[in-house]
Amino acid sequence: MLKPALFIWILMPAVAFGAVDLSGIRVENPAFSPNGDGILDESILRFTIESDLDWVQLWVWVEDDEGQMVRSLAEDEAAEPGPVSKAWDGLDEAAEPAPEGFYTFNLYARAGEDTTPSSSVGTVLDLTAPLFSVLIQPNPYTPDLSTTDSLLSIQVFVEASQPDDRLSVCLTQDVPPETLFTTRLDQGDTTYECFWDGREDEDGTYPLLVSVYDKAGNINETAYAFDLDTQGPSLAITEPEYTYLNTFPDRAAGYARDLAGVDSLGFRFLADSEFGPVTVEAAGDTLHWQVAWPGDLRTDGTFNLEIFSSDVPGHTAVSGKEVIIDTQAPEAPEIDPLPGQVFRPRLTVTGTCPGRDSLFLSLNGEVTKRLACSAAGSFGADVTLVEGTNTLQASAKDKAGNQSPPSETVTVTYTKTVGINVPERFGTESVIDFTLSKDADLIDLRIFTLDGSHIATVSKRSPDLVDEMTWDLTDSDGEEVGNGLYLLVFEVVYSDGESKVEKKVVVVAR
Amino acid sequence: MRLFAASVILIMLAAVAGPAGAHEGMGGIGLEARPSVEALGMGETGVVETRNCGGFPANPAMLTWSPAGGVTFGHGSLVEGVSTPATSFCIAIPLGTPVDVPPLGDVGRPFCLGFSIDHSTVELSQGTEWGWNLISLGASYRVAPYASAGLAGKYLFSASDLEGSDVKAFGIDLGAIVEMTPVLRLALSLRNLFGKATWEDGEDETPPFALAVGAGLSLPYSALGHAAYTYSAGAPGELGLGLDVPMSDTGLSLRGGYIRHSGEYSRSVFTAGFGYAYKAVSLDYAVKLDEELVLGTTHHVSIGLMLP
Repeated sequence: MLKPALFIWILMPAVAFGAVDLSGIRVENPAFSPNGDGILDESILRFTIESDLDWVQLWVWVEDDEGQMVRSLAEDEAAEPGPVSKAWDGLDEAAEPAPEGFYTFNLYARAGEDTTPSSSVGTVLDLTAPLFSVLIQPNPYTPDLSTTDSLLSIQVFVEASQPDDRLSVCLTQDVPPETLFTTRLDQGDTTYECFWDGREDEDGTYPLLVSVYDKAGNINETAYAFDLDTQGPSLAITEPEYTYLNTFPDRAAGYARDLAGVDSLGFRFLADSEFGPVTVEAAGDTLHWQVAWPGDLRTDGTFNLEIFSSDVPGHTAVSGKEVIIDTQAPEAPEIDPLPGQVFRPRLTVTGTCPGRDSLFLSLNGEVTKRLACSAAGSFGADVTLVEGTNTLQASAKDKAGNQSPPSETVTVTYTKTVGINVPERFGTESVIDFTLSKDADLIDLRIFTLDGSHIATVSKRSPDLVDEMTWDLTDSDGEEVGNGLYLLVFEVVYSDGESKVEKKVVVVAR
Repeated sequence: MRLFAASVILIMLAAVAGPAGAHEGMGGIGLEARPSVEALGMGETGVVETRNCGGFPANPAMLTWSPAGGVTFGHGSLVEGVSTPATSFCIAIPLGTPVDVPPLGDVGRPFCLGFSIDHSTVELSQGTEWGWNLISLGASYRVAPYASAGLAGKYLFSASDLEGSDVKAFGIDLGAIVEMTPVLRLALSLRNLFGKATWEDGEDETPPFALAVGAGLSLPYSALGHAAYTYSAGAPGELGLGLDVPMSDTGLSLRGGYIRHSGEYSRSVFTAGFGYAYKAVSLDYAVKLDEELVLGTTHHVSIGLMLP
């Protein structure tokens, strides 16, 4: 058994002088770019302190490639044994950005009388992404005209790239962008080429984004654009604006637009004539053209205007427009005979208007209805008469807008008659008109067959003095009734308590 | 045997009752003949029996049930407050040797033909008249001394100035009457079988099928009691009760009736009337007392002549 004094003597060196070592020294990101983009903004040194003491003294600093200290990260810092990391943000002791270049982390540790040797490990401070240039050809891209250039070529020349730097080429007209090409770069100056097949795509200007990323997180992006042109110029005839004209136009005009440039323009008024020159005025990639309307063509008739054009690559296009010039007024429409006297305010007016487009029906001097003439050349409309004598007149317009003279005036006298007006042949759209002599609270319409079977009841509460009601030809179960004779029994309950019953028989014949 | 015959007839008639649900909604062109004036006075219970030929459109079996053939001319209106004159004419021609059934005696001929025509006109809402004619041709056969069966074909056509509203229709009626006991008769008729109505401007339709059952009871003092129930496809049923009381030997009979309409607008309708017979001539009158809000009060009269 050892004596206590000897035991203390044996342990003294370890307790009093200690031992320390640094292992696992490495830089997590050998290249970094402290530009504040959140990507590799720091270079991180990691190592492990091994010691039998509870703490050691630590020194860590950064030197440039000339051995000058740039930044101290730890100086006589008390550190516990175990893993340690130190980050350098690219700033020097004066908190100024250090220049691009190669730097070393230096470090050593001391535990009591034991000091480790000084260790170094390198890192690269890189603030500049690789440079590149792009060549897009052909531009404009006309895959339909050339068998050799059916694909678009995109060449990217990258300077001084490092291994594991990356290149990507994207079409950005859609969201998300379409990646055409992406690759890891070789070291040095290298040209990369990718292709795009636009034969199935629409004409237009396509934006392109070329990006190069280095290991330090620096990005160099540049936007480009190229034109895809597979069609002729976009053509429009803007004058005359409408197909039907009732006056002779002074000119025809329009525009031609093509991204690749308009090469030629020609215009003609009639389908079997030659294309003639036009007067043009350029505005960007658009040519505005016009042609004076010839004096010998200032006649009524149909003209087939056509504009022809080709673009610089050689695509052609033709656009046409039919113009019908009609300066003659149509004949007056005719109103079908009407009864001289009616006893209900609602009146259906019919008539003929062959060859006309729209019809204006005037009641007592004011246009009350604007109607379309049917293909068969007829019209029909319901008008509401005023009490007394009413005058009806119609006029029409053709498609060119020529106004006809007014029709003969038809006079109808409406005599307000208290009672209920029911169509004899009753259909789903039939309307029951009634004119009451005084205010009423309720009108009940009970419908029966002629042998007394109840079919349905329809009610209208608080009717107006002149009002209407309908029956949808269904029974009380909601089923459609059969065609036949029906007894309609109206019971009017007036506001003063009086009531009145009126019976009408109708034929339902759908 | 009587029960067997009655059962057979009822089963046969029930078997052809299938088309009852063919009509979707209520109403439709009716192929129903106006009830005879005699039946009107007894709550429209014409399916059971009537003395003259006016009843055969309600039940074709009636032709061989009347004691003799005859001619009847009737007139009346359909709706109070609306011009709705309705005129009817019928003739029944019995054939064969009279059947003698003790203790009833002569109960009629074994076979009978009938013809009737109803002409009715209504004044539509704006004054146009819409008229129609219903022609019935019937035949009846006494299948047993206590049972008759009949068949009638009907054809309707209208005539009106109202454009596009004319109609032509046809249908078949079947009927049966069975004397269960000397005092109890049961009757049944099926109407508008195999019917079709064709409108001038529209599509074809099926006239509403109707089923009527009834019972007749001989009461003391030669009185008659009738009960009938009529169902028309899609429509609520209608119950009729009637009583005919002869006034001793005067030839006069007094009649009363009650009709109950069921359904959403249920109501009671009363009828009354009288009949007077002198030798071969008969005169009948009936009044129907419906609510003012429906058909109102209508009057009906007929005169008949029994053929030898």
